[in-house]
Amino acid sequence: MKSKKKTAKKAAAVPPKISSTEAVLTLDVKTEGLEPIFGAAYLMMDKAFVSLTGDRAGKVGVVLRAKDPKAVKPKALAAEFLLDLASQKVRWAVSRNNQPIREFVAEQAVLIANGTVPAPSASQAAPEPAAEQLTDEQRSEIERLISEVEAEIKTMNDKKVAADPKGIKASWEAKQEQGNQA
Amino acid sequence: MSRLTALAKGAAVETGHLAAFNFRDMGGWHLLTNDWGQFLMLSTGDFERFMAGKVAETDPLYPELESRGFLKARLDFPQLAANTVKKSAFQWFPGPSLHMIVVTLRCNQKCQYCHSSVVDPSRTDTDMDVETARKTVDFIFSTPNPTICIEFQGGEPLLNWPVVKFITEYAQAKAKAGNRKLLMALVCNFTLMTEDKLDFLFDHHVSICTSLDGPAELHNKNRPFLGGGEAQPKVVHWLEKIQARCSADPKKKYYLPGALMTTTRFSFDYGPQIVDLYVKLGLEQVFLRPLSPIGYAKRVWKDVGYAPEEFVAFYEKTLDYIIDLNVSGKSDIMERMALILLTKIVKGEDPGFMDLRSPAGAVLGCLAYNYNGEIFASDEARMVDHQGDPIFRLGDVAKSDWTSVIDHPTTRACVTASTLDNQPMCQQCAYKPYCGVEPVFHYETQKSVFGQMPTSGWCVSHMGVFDVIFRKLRDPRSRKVMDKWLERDQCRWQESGNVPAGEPEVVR
Repeated sequence: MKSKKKTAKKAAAVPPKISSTEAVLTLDVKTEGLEPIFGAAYLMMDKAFVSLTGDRAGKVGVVLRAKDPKAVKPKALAAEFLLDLASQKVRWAVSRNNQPIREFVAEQAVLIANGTVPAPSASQAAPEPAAEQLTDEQRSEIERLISEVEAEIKTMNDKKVAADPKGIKASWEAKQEQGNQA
Repeated sequence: MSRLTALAKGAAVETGHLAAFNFRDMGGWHLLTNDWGQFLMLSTGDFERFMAGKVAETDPLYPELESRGFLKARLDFPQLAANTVKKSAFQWFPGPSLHMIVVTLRCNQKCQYCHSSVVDPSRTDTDMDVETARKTVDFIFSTPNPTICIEFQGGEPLLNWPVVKFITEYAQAKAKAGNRKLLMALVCNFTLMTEDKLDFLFDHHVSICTSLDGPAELHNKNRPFLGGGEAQPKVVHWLEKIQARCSADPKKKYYLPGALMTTTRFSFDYGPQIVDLYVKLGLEQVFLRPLSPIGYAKRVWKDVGYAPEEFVAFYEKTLDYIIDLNVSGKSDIMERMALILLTKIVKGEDPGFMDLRSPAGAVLGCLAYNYNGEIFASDEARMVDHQGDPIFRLGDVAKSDWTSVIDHPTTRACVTASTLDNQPMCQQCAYKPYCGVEPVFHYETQKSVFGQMPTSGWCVSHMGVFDVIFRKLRDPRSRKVMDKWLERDQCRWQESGNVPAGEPEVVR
């Protein structure tokens, strides 16, 4: 697993242009990521009108105009946007890194709920915290297991799932009839 | 900083070791939560060490992070999956469990905020007839959830008493024949209650709930009789009478009446008095509910409404008063919203509360039936229809079947819009494991079933209440009180917030 170090201040290499009515930021999509830019823009909507321009594969312009110009100045808007953008990059990175795991756990939850997989017993329920240091060997074993899980999830996602696996669309009578026929 | 909160400027972050989680800067400390409902309250210093990947395995914080699923390399998959099953129990039962039947639109009160779209008592054309009632019950019993809870609403349901009786008896007969679990509840204003009606309700195990906004001057201002007159004394009279009957008969202990209050602008000056009245009447819980700008309330919002921040301030102040009462031993009354949230947060369980689910309770958890047999995604959805917009109408008990309702485009839209992972801000919010959004609320207030969370009053209000609850959880004095509330475990089977506490006897 690659370690990904980030620093929250690295957003926006080009300084924002501040006028009396608006702040204009020019952001490199490759550096900042499109989702974090959209995410930060969305979060500003309670206090600013936000317009995005430019090329989503290259550079994106973000124009911020305060909804209440007396309450917040363009410079403050730009500072808040950049702070949120830095956090957005972290939030999206964490989300991306963990997507296969979240999907796997959700899948397991469905299997437990359906009775396909047994729920862990009480003795298994509270994992004891590991006091010992992990060896390099143990670490690589964990990495390998995570890779396996991710591969397994991909395989499951590639398979077609039934349109109504839990029978939500079936009426009570239909279910009873099915039961009687069985 | 946005309402979602952000990392400190220049914060060092190493993402490789972080499991899926969201964080919130609580001012001096940080809250961490994950999809599996686990939470941690960390000092800012600890949070910064965690984010920077500087919590060593020998660090006392490490086992905390590990056991609660915040370290990617140390996840216990079966346990996390089991936590998910427990916390989202509502997802594993097919179809709605709560069915709200509006047996009439007529009402004898003219409440300031009434969003139930009521009409004058002379309008008997808005009464449900027996044939529609029969078809409504038939439809309800065609839905697939093994457990059915029928809740009578209005208007004032006691104005169409014969149909209330018919539905009760017919539904109970069907439940017996089909071996279905059936719970029944009546939400009424008590002003038309009689001993005979009460006998019937007790005999048929129907839970009873009413509205009580507080002391007489407040209640009567919020909820006057049509044409004038004071309603509060009648509510208090019947609450006391029913309490007395329940106390005299141990079999009726589960039928202790419940009461709900709705917060208007006028309520803000009455927090302690409202609580004191509930204590005096022996009620176990008070539910500090905000007013929604839906239906009629939308029209009078400038008179009775308020900013969501004002509600949060009222909520915190009144909750403080309730906690003080508990600490001093003067009362053990509980606040219902706190109890619902604590059940989710601390116990990791689903309290069955429709408003805070992902996806929302609309259709998947509940359905509403109008007096004429029309089917709606929720009672609020019916109110939107009453204002002339049929967008949330899903069918009609005379013509529709369950498949057409669950497959309806509006159902799909509501489910998609209210799944928090589809919401740009909610998906990153620390309250995501416990929260929910309401498509009807956002359609009414923001013209979109998705809504726009940064400007949503729903979000401001709920985020504010979650902030209050987590601050109390960090305070040992409040935490002790809240733990006692959870021990009493009175948070089951309150699907709509209208079914009284406890586990009523089930009719089979």
